[in-house]
Amino acid sequence: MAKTKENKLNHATGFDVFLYIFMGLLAVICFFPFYYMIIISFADYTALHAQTVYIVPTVFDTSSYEMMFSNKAFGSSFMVTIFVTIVDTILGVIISVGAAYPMSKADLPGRKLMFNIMLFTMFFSGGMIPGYLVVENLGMHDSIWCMVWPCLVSQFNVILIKNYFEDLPASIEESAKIDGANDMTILFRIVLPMSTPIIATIALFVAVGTWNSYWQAMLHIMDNYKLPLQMTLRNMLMSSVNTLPGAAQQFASQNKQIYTLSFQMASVTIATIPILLVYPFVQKYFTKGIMLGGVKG
Amino acid sequence: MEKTAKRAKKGERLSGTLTTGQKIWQNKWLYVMFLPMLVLLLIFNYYPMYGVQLAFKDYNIALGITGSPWTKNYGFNNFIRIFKNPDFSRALKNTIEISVSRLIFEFPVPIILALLINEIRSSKFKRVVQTVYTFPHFISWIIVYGLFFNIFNSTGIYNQILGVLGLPSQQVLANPATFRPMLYISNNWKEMGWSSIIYLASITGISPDLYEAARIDGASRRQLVTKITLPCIVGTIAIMFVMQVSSLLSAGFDQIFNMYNPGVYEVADILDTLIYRMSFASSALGSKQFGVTTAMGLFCSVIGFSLLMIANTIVKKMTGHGIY
Repeated sequence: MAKTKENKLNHATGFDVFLYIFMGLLAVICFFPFYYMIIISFADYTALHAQTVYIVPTVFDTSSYEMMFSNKAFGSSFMVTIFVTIVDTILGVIISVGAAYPMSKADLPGRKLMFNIMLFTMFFSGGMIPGYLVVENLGMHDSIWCMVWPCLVSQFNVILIKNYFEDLPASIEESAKIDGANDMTILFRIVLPMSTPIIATIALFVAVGTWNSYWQAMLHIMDNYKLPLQMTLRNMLMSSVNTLPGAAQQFASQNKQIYTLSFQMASVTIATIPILLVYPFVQKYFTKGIMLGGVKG
Repeated sequence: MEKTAKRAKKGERLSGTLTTGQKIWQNKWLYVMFLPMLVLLLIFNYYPMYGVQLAFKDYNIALGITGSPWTKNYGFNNFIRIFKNPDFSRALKNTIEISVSRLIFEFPVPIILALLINEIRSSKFKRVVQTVYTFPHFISWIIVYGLFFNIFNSTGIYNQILGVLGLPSQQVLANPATFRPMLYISNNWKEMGWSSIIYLASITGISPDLYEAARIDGASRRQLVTKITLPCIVGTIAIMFVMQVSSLLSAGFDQIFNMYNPGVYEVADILDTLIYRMSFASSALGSKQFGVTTAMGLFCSVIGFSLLMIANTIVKKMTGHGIY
């Protein structure tokens, strides 16, 4: 017995060393684009070309950031995105919880039907054009509400919440019901206080998803000052110096040292930071959330 | 005996001798809660399905969906037109090629990653690397494109390194020969950590007794993986496979739309990007094309849905697991 144990340990070390090196390297590769984004956002043209391979930052030039914050279009798109993210998160969580709670009741007549009505839309859709026409016909053309109403349904989130509710002990709810509490009271007083982990996860999923979304805005928003951050970012990345937003273009023509890429990476960095800030909170919960949702399908 | 009595008592308490109507009335608040979701689904998911009739019509913006005339050839003219369109055949070919390649180059990656993560013994190291692997899932494809462009553009670090090695510089994101590998690399970079979570979760669910028993029987570490871990997560793999196969005709719009450029259309243009460009990119044609592009969309939806059904049936027969 002792011998086999020793053998196994010896056998394991070689593989373990390889595993640690491999996984560590993979993590470095995964992280590198972010590191490189940050050093380029602070670089200027001369510094970038002074080194054959620019990997150790030699300058700390904040002009890209200054230029960006003085840019009106960037500022307004930031505000649009923050507004839409807050509204979407609040409404999205309310609607998802409202749909998930009845579906989690095993003895509710029509529960299966509700679930199937929702499930079908995960696998079949009318396609791009009919969806576009519905939003246009509802008068959301060039209105920031086109980033709110069509984006509130997330079947995946509803399934995660439903599975979480199903795992809560039924006895507490039953006794409350016997005491005469109605379903609304039970949901707010008993079920939701027990469900903070899943609610936090879903809120963060919705918030991050909205922060990253651009599709509806690209189709329906015409006014540059109503564009969300991702669209402004996209326009910046797809453009060369000549089509940079006003202030940046002026800056670039005045100062040859400014590097277009540095400006672009400063924008990308600013758009990434909020996600980086909420990520630890998301991560704390999502493994659990996915586990519940995934295992039960 | 005792069980039956208990069940009867429980049934009595929950529903008693209520009729379905009374039961519904008793739970009225639960239905009210579902209402907002139902309304949104009806407006933004089901109402567009009514708009699918555009696939059989010549869309005229003044006449609207219902008023537009049906096309020639018993309404099937739009479909005849798309199959005669060389851009459509190219996009269909690209879509299928990219999707199948994703099954080969992307589908196994998170499974392997999950198995490797599971072998890490230090829980601290495990947590750190998992945090790093998963983070890119939460940034948008627009940002991912920015990050990749930053590395691979003509002055980026990739070409600087090639320069040091004395090799000619390469535009990997603008070159048809290298664009598709870049798609698989960037998608793996972004999603492998996230996708591995579901496999890790299902590995966590395996009973430790199985491993204990196998270890006593003298199983090696590799045998534990191939004879216990893998067979135990085959259900999860099957479900993910069904999902992947059913998305054969949607080869990743979000990614390709943000990464491609006219120089690589020949290898990168997929059905969804073609539909988008035909409908919205040229303001001259614009809504006149809506009939044709809706037909393309319907083609994708119907094939996708059928594939889901077929794949689910086959996988369910083979492994006993499916998505419903």
